[in-house]
Amino acid sequence: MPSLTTDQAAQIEQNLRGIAKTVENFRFDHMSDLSDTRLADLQKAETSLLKASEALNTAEMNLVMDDADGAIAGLGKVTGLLKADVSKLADVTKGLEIATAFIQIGTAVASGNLNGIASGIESAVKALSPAKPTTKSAASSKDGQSEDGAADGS
Amino acid sequence: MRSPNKRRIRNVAAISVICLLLEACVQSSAVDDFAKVSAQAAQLFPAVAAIPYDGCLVREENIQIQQVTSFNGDISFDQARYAAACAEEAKTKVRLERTYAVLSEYIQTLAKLAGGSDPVYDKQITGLADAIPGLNKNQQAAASGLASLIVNAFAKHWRERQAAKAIETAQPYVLEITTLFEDDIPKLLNESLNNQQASLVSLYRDAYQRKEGNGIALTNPVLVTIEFAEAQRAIDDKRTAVQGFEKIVAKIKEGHTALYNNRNKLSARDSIEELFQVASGMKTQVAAVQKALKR
Repeated sequence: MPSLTTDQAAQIEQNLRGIAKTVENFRFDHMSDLSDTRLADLQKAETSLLKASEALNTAEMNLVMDDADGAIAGLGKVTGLLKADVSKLADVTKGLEIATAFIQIGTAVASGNLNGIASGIESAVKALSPAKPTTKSAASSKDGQSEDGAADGS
Repeated sequence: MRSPNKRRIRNVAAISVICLLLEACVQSSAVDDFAKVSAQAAQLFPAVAAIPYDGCLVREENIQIQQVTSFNGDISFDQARYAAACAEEAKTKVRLERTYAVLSEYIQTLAKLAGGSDPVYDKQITGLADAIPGLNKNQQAAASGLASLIVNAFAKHWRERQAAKAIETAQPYVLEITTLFEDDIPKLLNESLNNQQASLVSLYRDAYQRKEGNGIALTNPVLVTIEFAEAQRAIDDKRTAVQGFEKIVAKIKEGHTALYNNRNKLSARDSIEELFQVASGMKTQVAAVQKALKR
């Protein structure tokens, strides 16, 4: 069954409010002529019409969100994949340490700096050490994802 | 005569300076800026999403007040009954918040991948290069520049490729969800506010006019109008917040479309400038919504 459009729902809500307003005006225009019970009934009718209008509003809001369910799930999935990529970024820090260590060695060798060579080797050993507990980085390195991802752009 | 080592270092330094200059030309912090404003908007959204639920609670309170026949200062509002009467609105509020949160979380996560965290690497590189003993300034610049080059090849380009893929996949979803929040939801929130206003008018008419014996008794219209104006202003402020949010979502759509169109050149100057402009427009709207909700 085709569902209401938002504009159609809004139109019905306006109509319900219009009827509620007519009841309200009648109640105030004939206040002195009507019994207390009758006035109370009219007030209830007015309230029920406004509640019906609001109930339709809530139902329509849920319907439009139902229609967008696929997109919401799809975007959630993309976010999940992005989060996985973000976690791979931890490997970059490792890569940076390794790269910098080799640059230290290279630069020290080029400039004949013995202290620099020693320091560079020390840094390289530290950076290449698998014992460093960078959890996700270590995990993704194990299955080769980070290296592959970096190399082939996967 | 200069030693070959010194020449080599000079070359590395020259290349590195060019690399550093090239990298300095492009800053991907526009994505961060965009995400930051989106996050600010997301913090404001619960107040907007609560409009139907809050309106329902107010309506229930109005109904109770309208049934009052005398005043002695002793009135208790049955919050449990209100909550039961507004259960559907409460569920819808949560659903609205969650739906918007999906959009917001996507943008925040995208910023973590595509955003400008390069300066952090640059700082690390500089720090590490500084720690190499015996290097002069040029040599340190050379070491830093080369490390930057490696890091950018390793991280930045990979990040951009991954971000481009995510942006491409997400674009139809983002369009659909932003259309929902730009077109349908604001219309319905405005209708909800119209319902609240109708309930409010009815309440204040009862405050102004009542049956007394066989006649009608009227209250001072100025006093009633003062009270009514205050309540009316609260509804108007919510309407302003809804309008502001509509514009924020339109900007999110515009920003993501800009990212989609430029997905293969995310670091290009024109791509960044376009996104900065969108983020700047969003900031104005976020401030407008903040102002409306604070009153």
